[in-house]
Amino acid sequence: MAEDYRSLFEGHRESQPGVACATLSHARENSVLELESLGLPNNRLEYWKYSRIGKVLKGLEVNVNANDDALNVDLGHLKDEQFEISSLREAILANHPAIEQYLTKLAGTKNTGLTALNTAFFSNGIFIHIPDNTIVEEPIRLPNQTWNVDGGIIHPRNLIVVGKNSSVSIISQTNTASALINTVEEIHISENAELKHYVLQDTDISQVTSSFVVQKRDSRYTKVTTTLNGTFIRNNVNIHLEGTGCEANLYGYYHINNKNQVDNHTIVEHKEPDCVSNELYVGLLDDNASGIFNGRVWVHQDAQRTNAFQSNKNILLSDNATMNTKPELEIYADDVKCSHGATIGQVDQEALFYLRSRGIPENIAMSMLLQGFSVEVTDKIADAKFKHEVVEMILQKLGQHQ
Amino acid sequence: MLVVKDLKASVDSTKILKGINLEVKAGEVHAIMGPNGSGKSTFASVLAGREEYEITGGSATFYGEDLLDLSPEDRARKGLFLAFQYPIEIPGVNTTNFLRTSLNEVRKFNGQEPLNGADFLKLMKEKMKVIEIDKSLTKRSVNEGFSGGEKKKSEIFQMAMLEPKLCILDETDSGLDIDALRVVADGVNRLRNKDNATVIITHYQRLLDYIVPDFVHIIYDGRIVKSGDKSLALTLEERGYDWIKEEFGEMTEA
Repeated sequence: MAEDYRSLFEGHRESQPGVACATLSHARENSVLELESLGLPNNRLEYWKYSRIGKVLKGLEVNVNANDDALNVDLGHLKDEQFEISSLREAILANHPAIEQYLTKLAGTKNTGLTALNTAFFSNGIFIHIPDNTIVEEPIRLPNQTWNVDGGIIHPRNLIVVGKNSSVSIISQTNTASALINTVEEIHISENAELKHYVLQDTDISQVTSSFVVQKRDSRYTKVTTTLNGTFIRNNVNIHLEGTGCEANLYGYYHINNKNQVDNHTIVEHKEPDCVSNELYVGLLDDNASGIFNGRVWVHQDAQRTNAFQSNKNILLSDNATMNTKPELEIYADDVKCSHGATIGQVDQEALFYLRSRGIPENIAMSMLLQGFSVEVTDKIADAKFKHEVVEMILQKLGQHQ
Repeated sequence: MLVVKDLKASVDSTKILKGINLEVKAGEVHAIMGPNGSGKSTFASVLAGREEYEITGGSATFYGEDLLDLSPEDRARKGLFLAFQYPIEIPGVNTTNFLRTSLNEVRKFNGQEPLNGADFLKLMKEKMKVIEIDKSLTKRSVNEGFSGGEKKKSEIFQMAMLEPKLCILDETDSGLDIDALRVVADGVNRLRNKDNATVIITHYQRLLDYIVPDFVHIIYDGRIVKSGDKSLALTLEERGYDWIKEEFGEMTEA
């Protein structure tokens, strides 16, 4: 259906926000070309092996919502004099300088079909800009984004820019839409800035989120993704460490059941010396659920004294649950410390017996052990209030397991 | 309190216990000694309810009730406590929360009100003093990163919190230096009273210098082959286990 993208694009280009912006128009144009050559993903591609993407995409049409404001999200209560927050559409129409500077630049155009699709057709999303030297004390908690569309594939696009020496926490919750949500988010973290990014996925949707994070010198990025529901959840996290002294921390906890699938794909590119990356993904798979973890760490030749650690731990709660996990290390520098590990197992029967031998009934002992499994990840949530909320949700989900 | 009659157990169709007889009354301390592989730890595990052992014969009653029929948690709630030879590390499960859940489950089962946070912490503080355990341990995950001595002390501390009727110490002395051994033994001695009983499973006599047993039993090849008073332990110390093997060795063939 390659020709469809072209005609679909031509048919809607005039109504897309930012037609006047040369950079954006150019990127969209390139994306259509990419899309025509790449097409949408399928399971023959290594990057989508084990994924249910083929089935998910079957029969889905591209939903072009450029004309109507399909994104229904109220950001009014988040307005603050310290920073800027608005819909992406507003920021594009207002010619915000960050749009010209960053939008589509971080995701690039040489991409997978779904990112190209997003770039060609996105019309809206969320825009956050934290100016230089700004410490935002309270986390910015984005409301649930509801997209009023009738099926197909939709393309939310978010842009987050954190200025030099600034610090902020952002909490985002699941989108809702009766469509495949193909989100692309671009995040730029300037010199010596910090972003703590907490993502909660707990609604019954199909979603591919591709995050492109560019980190400048001495910046810090921590992402904690908690997935407790979702028919089909694919999280692509791409980190580009483009300055020395950066730290990137990617953490994830998932617990899914039914026939659902959760898939975390991370790529960390160490391009400069003296950076640290930590990855820890742990999860539980129940019923007929399937999980995928693919963690790629790429240490470029100049990235001496890189420290990169990666770990993925899984517990299968049912005989029919599956997990595919794959670490990939590509190291071209000689002075590095890298480690990776992956485990797939069952609940530790010794530990279960230990708790029971202290009078704790089996079902409670089981919950304690499984909740204990998530602690390593939830402990990374620095905001006490949000952490409490996440832990409660994890416990509630474990309760349903009994 | 505990009556074991001709108890037989196997694991993966290998017979390990071949007919154990033992009676433990309130206020008594029993030591069960034996060479490696004689079935000492299996006996402890079977009493605590570890599920990989198959009971192939005999009986064990606890206050007249069939012990072997109870789940591990019910045995604990009725007052049986096993101090593990190798306490398990449980990452992510906080020691204080674990103890509170444990204690309140035991209380609930025995018709007592669960302790609220403040009362629980007060009790914990009290017992920590008795066992001389470092406060920081209770803030960590269960046994995680504890030294060998800390793990054993933590077992005795849990015992102090739960106040069981029957304490089974499975090789609690293994891997302990002399100072840790003394602390652990002091803890056990302080918890002793006329209503509870202690069964010490050990390879060596030295723990018995600190916790003096009323009875010493020698287990060999899945049976108790000799019983006596504390002097039996001293004889063992002097003559080693070879003497037992020579005297009772032919039973293996039987």
